[in-house]
Amino acid sequence: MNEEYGRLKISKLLATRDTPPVVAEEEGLIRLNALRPGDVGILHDLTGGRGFMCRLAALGFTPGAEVRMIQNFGHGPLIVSVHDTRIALGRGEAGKVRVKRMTNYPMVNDQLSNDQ
Amino acid sequence: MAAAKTITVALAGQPNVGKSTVFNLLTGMDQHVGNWPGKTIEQKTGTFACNGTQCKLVDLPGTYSLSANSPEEVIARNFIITERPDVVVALLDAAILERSLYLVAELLPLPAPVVIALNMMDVAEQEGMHIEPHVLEAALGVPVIPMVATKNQGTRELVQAIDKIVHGQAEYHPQLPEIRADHLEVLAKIEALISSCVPEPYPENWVALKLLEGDSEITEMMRACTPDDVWEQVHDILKAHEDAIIDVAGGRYDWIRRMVRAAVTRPRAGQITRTDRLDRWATHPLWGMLILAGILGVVFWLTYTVGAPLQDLLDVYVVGTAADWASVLLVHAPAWIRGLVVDGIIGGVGTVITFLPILVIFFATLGFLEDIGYMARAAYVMDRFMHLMGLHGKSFLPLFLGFGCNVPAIMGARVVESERARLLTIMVAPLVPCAARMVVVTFLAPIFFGRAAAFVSWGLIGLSLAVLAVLGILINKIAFQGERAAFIMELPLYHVPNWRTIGLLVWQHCLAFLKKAGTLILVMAVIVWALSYWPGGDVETSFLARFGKLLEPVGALMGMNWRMIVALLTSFVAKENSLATLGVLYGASGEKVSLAEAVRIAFTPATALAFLVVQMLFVPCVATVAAMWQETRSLRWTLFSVVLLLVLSFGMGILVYQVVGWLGG
Repeated sequence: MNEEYGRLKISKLLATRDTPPVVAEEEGLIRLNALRPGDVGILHDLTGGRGFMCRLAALGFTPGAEVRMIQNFGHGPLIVSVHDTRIALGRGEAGKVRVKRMTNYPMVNDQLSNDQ
Repeated sequence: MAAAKTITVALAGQPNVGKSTVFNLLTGMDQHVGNWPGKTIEQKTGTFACNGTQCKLVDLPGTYSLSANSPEEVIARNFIITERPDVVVALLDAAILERSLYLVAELLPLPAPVVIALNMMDVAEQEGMHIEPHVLEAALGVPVIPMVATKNQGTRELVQAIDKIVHGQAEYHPQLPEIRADHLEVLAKIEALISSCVPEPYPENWVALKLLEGDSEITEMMRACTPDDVWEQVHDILKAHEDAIIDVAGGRYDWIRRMVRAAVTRPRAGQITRTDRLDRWATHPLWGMLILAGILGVVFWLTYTVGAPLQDLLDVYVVGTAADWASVLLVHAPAWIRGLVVDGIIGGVGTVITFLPILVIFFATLGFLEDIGYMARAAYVMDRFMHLMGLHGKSFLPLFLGFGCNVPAIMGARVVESERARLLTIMVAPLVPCAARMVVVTFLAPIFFGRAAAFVSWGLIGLSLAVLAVLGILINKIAFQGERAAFIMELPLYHVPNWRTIGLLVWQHCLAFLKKAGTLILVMAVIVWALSYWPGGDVETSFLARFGKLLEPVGALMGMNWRMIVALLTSFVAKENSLATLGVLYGASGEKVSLAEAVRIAFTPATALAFLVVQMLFVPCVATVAAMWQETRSLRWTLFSVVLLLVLSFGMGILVYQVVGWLGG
């Protein structure tokens, strides 16, 4: 039920964004802590306590946001980049975030700035 | 019509945007540092001139948003809602424009006009981003003032913008963030339900939105103000939208994206910035730790080469000279006045003054590392270990300073963001073996343990740290339900330090220390002196000695006599005092025996070990207790710590003595 709702939210979101749809290869949903350094993931959903979700959402971890993995050694905390900020997350915390890994993903930012 | 009342300006902004720099630029030395009423969170207020009128500037705590998740956020939003400042200046980091605007999205619906100060324009340019402030201003509908606070650029324009807004002369048509279509209906329903129940001065639509977000403070407030049957309906709606906060946040970011699109041109993908390059090393699991170890090594090197000699100089030339003069001036005064002035007052003041060089070095280092942005990396590297003790990675650096002196360790705990983690850090800080304690150990250990002295010293340090870890885990479990704040930490960009900010910080911390801790130390020094002098003018018959004799039964469990107990008690004023007291108590026998010899005769190795254990874990010195009181704002926690350490130290001492006795057969 939640999965459905989540997917519905995502498609609604992408539809209301006034950017041309991105053509890229999609992969399945993975936990953020499984994203490899250099990869970009599009945030799908968050779980956890309300305080935790609120903190992450305020920092930019919202469905549809572009999350780039900066450092991930497979153990210990990791570093991601969201909305131009580097955020360090604990492994467990990152595990509560699910993303869709994107490959061959053009820089959304470039697109946005180019079509004023 | 320019009112004669004081104009109040609130300064808001996320952490790491340079708020302190801007605050200091505007207010200069005209600032007052205190606490928000009833909280342990620092409040800075100051005044600045604005076209002839005096304006009051209030520094709101740095927060990423205005939810109810932390006391800082609640303080910030309640100030704006209840105190109604004339202007809110929102300070943004131009290099992180999108995320910085999240706070603005939360500020705009509040009942105070917002002026945006776009700081760090130079950093944005360096990172390759080009921003047009007037385009942003047109999109947002509020004044946007570009600034480079570290170079004092834009300050005048900011003051002018504040002036214009206050006098209603500015163009002010804020574009409020819109709620997503599917939530508009729900929001309208909630608003209709609570319509007549919202207490002054809260804005109705803001309250409705916060209810939808699941804000705990507002929910509590409205539950109390709304009739039960109405509240049930509201509650049902809220239950159906439990995770709405994520959508609300997403909606705000959509709004931000639209606002920012025309105003910003970005760098090419893959451009490597200076921060990226530095972080490859600084946050590496291995290299990061080595770099941290190196930096800490530098701090201690500075302390020993610059700080310690300065301390000696102060001790000899300032305190010593004062003591000599006083002795001469008072040569005809009764002995007790001489004693009071020279040993009590000058001795006490001397202790405080000799703390200063170490404090200045530590505060300057801490301030410098925080200002350039390195602190977050140190916290990141150490979090793995800190988290085992229920502490936050940011607690590491202040605790490490405790090896030099516990006072800056406790005062440095301010860098820890969560109140709970800060309190825990302060509670365990006195267990970090400080240099003064090590002085006692390095004197006594060789006398009893010869070549094993180094082994014993390290063992004692290890014991202290082990007790620290256990205590941390226990307090965390018992007092804080074992909760551990989620590890979410921003790594700000590295930037050139602002010496003015650092200087002002060091000055304020030292001044605060002198005022609070200084007075307490002085008072305690006089009291301890008095107890050691009266009634007979001689230590042997003094009240302090009598008190020590009272405690002899406890001491006997460790093989200690009253003299050793008294020595330990006097370490309350300053840790090294235990040596001085031993010198007085054993030297008073009249024989020309060195302290080392006297001690060797008086103690057995087992007793010496117990003595050292108690010394290491004992109640912290007065300065530390004063700092604890000042930083926790809680007499309860401070007293708890004192009693806990008293019991712990004697307990461990007795345990060690008995175990050694049992092992020795």
